[in-house]
Parts: sequence; C-alpha cells; structure tokens
Amino acid sequence: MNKEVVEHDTQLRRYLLDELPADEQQLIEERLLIDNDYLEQMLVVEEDLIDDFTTGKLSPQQQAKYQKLFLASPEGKKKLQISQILKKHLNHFPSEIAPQMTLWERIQNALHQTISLPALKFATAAMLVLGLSAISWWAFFQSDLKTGINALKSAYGEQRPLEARITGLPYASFSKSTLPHSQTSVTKLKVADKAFQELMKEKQTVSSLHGLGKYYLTQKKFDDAISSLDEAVRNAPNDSSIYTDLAVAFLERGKLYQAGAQLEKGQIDFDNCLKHLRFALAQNPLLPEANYNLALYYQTTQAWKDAEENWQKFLNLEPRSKWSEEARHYLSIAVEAQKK
Amino acid sequence: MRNTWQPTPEDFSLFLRWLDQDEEKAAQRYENIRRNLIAIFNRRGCHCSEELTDETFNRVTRRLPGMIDTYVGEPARYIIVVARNLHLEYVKEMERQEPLPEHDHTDLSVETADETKEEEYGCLEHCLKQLPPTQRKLVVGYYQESKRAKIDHRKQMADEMGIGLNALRIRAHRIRTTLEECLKQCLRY
Repeated sequence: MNKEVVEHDTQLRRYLLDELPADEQQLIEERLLIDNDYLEQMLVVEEDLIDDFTTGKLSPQQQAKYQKLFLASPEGKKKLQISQILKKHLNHFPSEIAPQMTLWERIQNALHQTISLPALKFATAAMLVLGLSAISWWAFFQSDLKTGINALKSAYGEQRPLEARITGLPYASFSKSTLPHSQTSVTKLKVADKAFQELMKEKQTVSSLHGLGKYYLTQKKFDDAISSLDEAVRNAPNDSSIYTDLAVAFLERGKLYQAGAQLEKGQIDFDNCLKHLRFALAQNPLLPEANYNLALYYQTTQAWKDAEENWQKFLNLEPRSKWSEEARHYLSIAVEAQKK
Repeated sequence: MRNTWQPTPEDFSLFLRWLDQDEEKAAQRYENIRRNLIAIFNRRGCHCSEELTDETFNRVTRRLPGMIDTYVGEPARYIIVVARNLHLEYVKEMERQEPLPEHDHTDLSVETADETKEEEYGCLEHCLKQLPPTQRKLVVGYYQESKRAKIDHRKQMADEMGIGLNALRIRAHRIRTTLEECLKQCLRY
C-alpha cells in the first residue's frame, strides 16, 4: 500500500479507537459526512479492527475502549457476531464451491451415469428426472428475468429515468425522477422489483447480471449497476450491449460526481464511459444505443465538435425514430455552442 | 435531550435549498449526509443513531433562518458541529442513567451449541453460493489464513489480480458487505 493510504488508515484506526484529539476528530467527521469513498475506507479499516478485536490483537486498553464504542451499538454487535462467524467457518470452505449445475451440465452428468451404471433403466429414468427438473428450473429462472425486464419496460414506458440510453428499453421521454409518473407504472415497478429480487436469489448468469444491471440503472443505483455489469462483462467479454450499459452507469455516475464538485472522480467515470463505449462499438459498430450514448458522452463533456459529428453519425444510422428527435435537438445545441 | 420542535415543510425546503439549489441534488445530498451521520453516531457507540441524526437535522433547520445569509462554508461543517454537541448531551444523559451490565465480548473461547454452529455454517454456505463465482473465490481466499502470513497471502492475491493491496481490501469489503446482509437475513439478526 502506498504511504498516503497507510497514513489515512492509521488516522482512521485512531479515530475509531477514540485516540484522536477533538479537533482532528471533527475534521475526520466533516469529511466522513460528505465523502463516500473516505467513509468506505473507514469501513475497511473497521473490518480489520474488528478482526483484530476478535483475535485479541488489540492492547487491553484498546480492547476495552472499542467494546464501549462501536461494539456497544446494535450495528457494532451484529458486525462483531458476523465477524466471529466468518472467522470460525470460512477456513473450512474451499474457494471454489461447486456451483449449481447448468442444464447442459445436468444432461452431461445424466448421460455419464447412463453409460457407467449397470442398471441402465434406472439411469435413464434419473436422466429424465434431472432433465425435467433442469428444464423447469431454467423456465422458472427465465420467467423471472422476462417478467422483470418486461415490467421495467412497461414502468418506464412513458418517462425514462436516465438521459442515456439503456439497451433494449424502448423510447420514453427523459424525466429526472426515478419514480414512474403514474400509479399503474408504480405497480409495474413493484412487479419488476420483486422479479429482480427473486432473480438475485437464483444462480447469477450473464443474462441475469445484465438484467439486474439494467434494473439498478433505472433505480440510479450506479455502484450496484457497475458491480453487476462488470461481473457480466467478465463472463461475456464480446457482448456489446453489456459494455454499452456499463458505459451508461459510468456516464450517469460521473455526472453526479461532477454535480457534487467531485471533478476528479467524475473525470475517471467519464473516461471509463468512453472506454466501454469504444469496446462496445468495436464489437458492434452499428449498435444504436452505443452510438447514441457516445454522442451524448461528448455532449455531456462539452466536446462540441465530436458531439456534432457523432450525432450526425447516429442520425444516419437511425434517421426516423423518437430518439432521433432528441438527437436533432442535441445536435442543434452542439452546433450553436461552437459558434460562441 | 430531544426537543419537541418539528420542522414545517417550508423549513425543510429551506434546509434542502441550503444543501443545494438544485432540488434533486439537494435530496440526494440530504440522504447521503443522513446515512453517513448515522454511521458516525454508530461508531461513537450510540444506541439511537437514527433519532440523534434526525434531531441534528431538526436543530440545524431550526437555526437556519437566522444564519443562512451570514454562514459561509460547507453545510457539513455546521451539521457536524451540531451533531458533536448533541452527542455530548447524549453521553451525559447516558451517564445519568443506571449503567447496564456489560457483556463481555472478549471471551471468544465459549463454544456455541452444535445446532447453532450448523445453522451458521449452513447460512454461510447458502450466502456464499449467492455470490458470483469470482466474488466467492475472492472473499474466501481473502479471509482464509494460509500457512504464510495473512499479509503475504493478500499481497500475492493482489499481484495475481493486477491491482493494489488497498483496491483488493475495498473489493473484499464490498463483497463482505453483501455477504453480511445475506447472513443477517439468514440468521435472523
């Protein structure tokens, strides 16, 4: 770890152990209040501290003090219990836990049994049962994904929550609110919510992670969206749609950072957005969502000449749609901006 | 300690505008500060962090009309000063009350019943299976102690992943947070 991180960690550790003078404590708390990355770093230090507490690595004074501080709070008690469970059991787990078998794996497994077992008819019956159960599991799983995506399309059918374009969702005018505009849409969103909650309990595949990512995007939970989509893209490195949606997450989170005067973080997200859009377009240069979002990226970063060029490119690709009406509006802004 | 004064919708709107002129950004900022303030009160051992956070906001909102035109600086600075004063009141209040018998967390050698152990193990297994394979591998590897010193083991993991040690710690922390939420639900904490 670099020197700066070590210094921050030492200071945060002393803060958590109530070993800092009041003025330094106040400065840290001021920063914790508004800087989420710093808060996350504190949580990382806290985990180490709790682990040290459970293994008795703190001095007796520190041990007693920490017990009266965070560990006295209801949340602290829960964290300590969980830490003890992890410490107690995690060593017994292999890092590769056998995942649930896919349909294909179940069929292969059943075929293998058919060949190796002498009682052929039992094996065949077992294969049939396994096959059927796998098919019903798959159908159930697909049903949740389909239900979730359809409900999402429907909930945001008239107003979309993000300026950028999420793949596979139909056109809707842009609204700053996350909430759908009508009660019917709110109900549909609840359906989507439930379906995705169920999906999260199932085995996570590329399509479920991608679906979840889209859902998080509509809820403006960009960190969660990035996590799901990043995981999806690792398992499907040639999928231009996932790259595009990942770029959307970075673009929208970058805008939030910029609005909150966190310019550096915003710039990092914008760079990631551009990188992922380029990946997407390298795989599929004609993907409308990627082309639209690339132009929007340049518009957002006020690179007007590039914005103009890319809106033109998008309009050539998709000249007559509701998206193209928005594109023309943005194009006129980009052209005007260059005249100033 | 808790005042009876409650903000009107107008008071609250003024407070939000103080945080940010843009309504949506102000709402996000409010939620963010609220969540982080609860976390701070928790770290100071408070048993009613949410109530203390709301009381902090009430006090700030109440004083706002008299200072909004003259106050210069980040609102967070003012909020944290009010929160710290409130915490001092809380500590005094707690000292006045009869202390509860302390539970000793340090005795970790106490064996839990086999039934509980099995339940914990089962829940951990269930929750680990909910994680995508790469996350599962990372979290199990990160928290397992190998024969070598833990720090060396983690350094090697970070090197293999091509990231820094702190980036690895943050990744492990995020996955652990997901795991903890699942365990809390499974064990009904």
